[in-house]
Amino acid sequence: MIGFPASLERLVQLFTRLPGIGRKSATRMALKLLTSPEAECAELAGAIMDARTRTIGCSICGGLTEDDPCAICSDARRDPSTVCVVERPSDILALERTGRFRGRYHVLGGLLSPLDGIGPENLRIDRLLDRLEGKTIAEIILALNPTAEGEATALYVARLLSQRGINVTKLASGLPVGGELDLADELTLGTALDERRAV
Amino acid sequence: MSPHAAQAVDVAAGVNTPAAGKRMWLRTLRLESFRNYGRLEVELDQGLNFFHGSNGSGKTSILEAVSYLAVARSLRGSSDTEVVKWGERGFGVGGEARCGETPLGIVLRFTRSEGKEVRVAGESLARLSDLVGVLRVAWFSPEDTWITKGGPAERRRLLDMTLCQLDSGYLTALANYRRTLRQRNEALLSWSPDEESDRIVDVWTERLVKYGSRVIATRLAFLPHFASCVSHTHSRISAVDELELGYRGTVLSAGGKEAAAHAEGDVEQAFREALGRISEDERRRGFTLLGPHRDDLEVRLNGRALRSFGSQGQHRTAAIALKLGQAAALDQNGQGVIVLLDDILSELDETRAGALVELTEEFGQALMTSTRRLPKGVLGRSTCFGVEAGEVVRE
Ligand SMILES: Nc1ncnc2c1ncn2[C@@H]1O[C@H](COP(=O)(O)OP(=O)(O)OP(=O)(O)O)[C@@H](O)[C@H]1O
Ligand SMILES: [Mg+2]
Ligand SMILES: [Zn+2]
Repeated sequence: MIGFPASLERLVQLFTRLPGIGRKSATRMALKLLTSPEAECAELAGAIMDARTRTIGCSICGGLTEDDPCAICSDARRDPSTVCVVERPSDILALERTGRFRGRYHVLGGLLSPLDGIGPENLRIDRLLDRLEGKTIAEIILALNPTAEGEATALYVARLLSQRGINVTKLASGLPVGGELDLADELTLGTALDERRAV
Repeated sequence: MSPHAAQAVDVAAGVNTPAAGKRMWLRTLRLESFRNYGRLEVELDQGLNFFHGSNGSGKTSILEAVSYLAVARSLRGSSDTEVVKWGERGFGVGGEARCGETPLGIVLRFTRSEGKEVRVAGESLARLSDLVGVLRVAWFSPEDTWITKGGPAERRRLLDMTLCQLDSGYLTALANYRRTLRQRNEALLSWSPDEESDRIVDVWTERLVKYGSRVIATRLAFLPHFASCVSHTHSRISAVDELELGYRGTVLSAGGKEAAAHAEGDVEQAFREALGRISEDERRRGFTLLGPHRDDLEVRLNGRALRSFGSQGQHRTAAIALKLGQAAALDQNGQGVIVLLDDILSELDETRAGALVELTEEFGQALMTSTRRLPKGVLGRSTCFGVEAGEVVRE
């Protein structure tokens, strides 16, 4: 059986490494690029490299940004005494879309999972503690997914913070159980935010 | 008060006879290139339909075909390609169900190249899972005596499968419990004697207690209703033996007759304390030693553990009672359950066989197979079919 020419095959293979892309879509994308103007291909290649080099994690919150600190962390109108803790940078976008939160964020970069060898030292928990050190904090809101790992991580963080006398709340469980924060619709997420309760 | 007890519907006892006219049953069954059948059409009746014939004649295949109309797969446990008649490219199973006077056509087709397609009332279903619930069935075969003969896992599965169908919150709690259990076992395995290790284990312990208590509390709340469905069904088949269910828990236990209404908070406290007592042991051994994943649904016959003392026929009777009791417990809205009983009379004496035949007639509809004819005395109002080499003759 004769396959694709080597260079085309390599492109297809690279596409299939991306999340949600199977062999079929990878092939369609690759074939489309073959027949696109050369300038468009160059633009795409450039954009990939550009985004890759310019986007960095904010040194304070861990959110995605081009300037450090990010727009939220450097916005003086946003309340620094209320911090919302999330798992991934994309969760920030979901919460921002609700338009109901005027505080700052903190990205953990994952969840506790002994099965995957992920412990507190692999998450940005130390950074959170450093960040709160010596500041007056009104409230820490834990906005983690209601999965087994999300709940365990929330509890771990809540215990650390309560020891330091910090007021910790958690999103109300209006979220679909096992659902993903960044896929929840704005209304559900907004309600969960409004109805947050003490941990 | 248990939510289940409130909705108790005792099919076996015929409590819901007012709804009997609305029970779903299968009037005709058609097979095409299915197992050893080329083409077959049989008219069934309400009550018991009894199929007899020699080994390999095609009896179990009929029940298997009905299972395709209910859950779109073989409840005998075969794959779709295995049931295709040798040398053919696919198979078809069709049936006309009835609910009162309303007919409902169900057709399932399978080809090796295109897979399965199901049509209900002429409409093609987007997902096969949409078929579930249209026609409810309960299948029982001789292997099911594992429910009573095997270890606790078999009985937990029966209980969990029943509860998951009744309560989607239970399904979520159980899935989260299992996941948390694996995480906690891993945390215990890599535990070392320092504060941070303890903090990690403690977090998983607390989450295990939360999910586990929901699981235990739901099981305990459901037990009295389930136990009464099962005991009742059992007493209908055997007049001499008395069967009881109990929950033998590693955290909390309960007899089947007690109204075991434990508040979730109380279960949480008991679970937390129990884990607290064995915390050193668990850290040394590296896994979780107690919780709902180690509990047992105990079956007692005349006050003794059936698993240790039951005879063949007693096991068979108890297992049938558990399965039919499950069907009764699941049939909350009195829609009726089609009971499929494969070759189960062989180990039962004539009295029990007769009682079972009578009992099945009270379910919406039952299909039963045997290599022997029904003894005249227990024929009841059942309809008999002779099966021979892929032909079915109504008698
Ligand atoms: N895919 C197939 N195509 C054709 N024939 C098959 C296929 N699968 C099984 N058979 C045959 O069909 C016949 C009927 O099988 P079935 O299990 O229904 O028999 P049965 O009447 O229940 O027998 P028993 O009393 O031994 O349980 C058997 O002879 C079997 O070998
Ligand atoms: Mg058979
Ligand atoms: Zn930032």
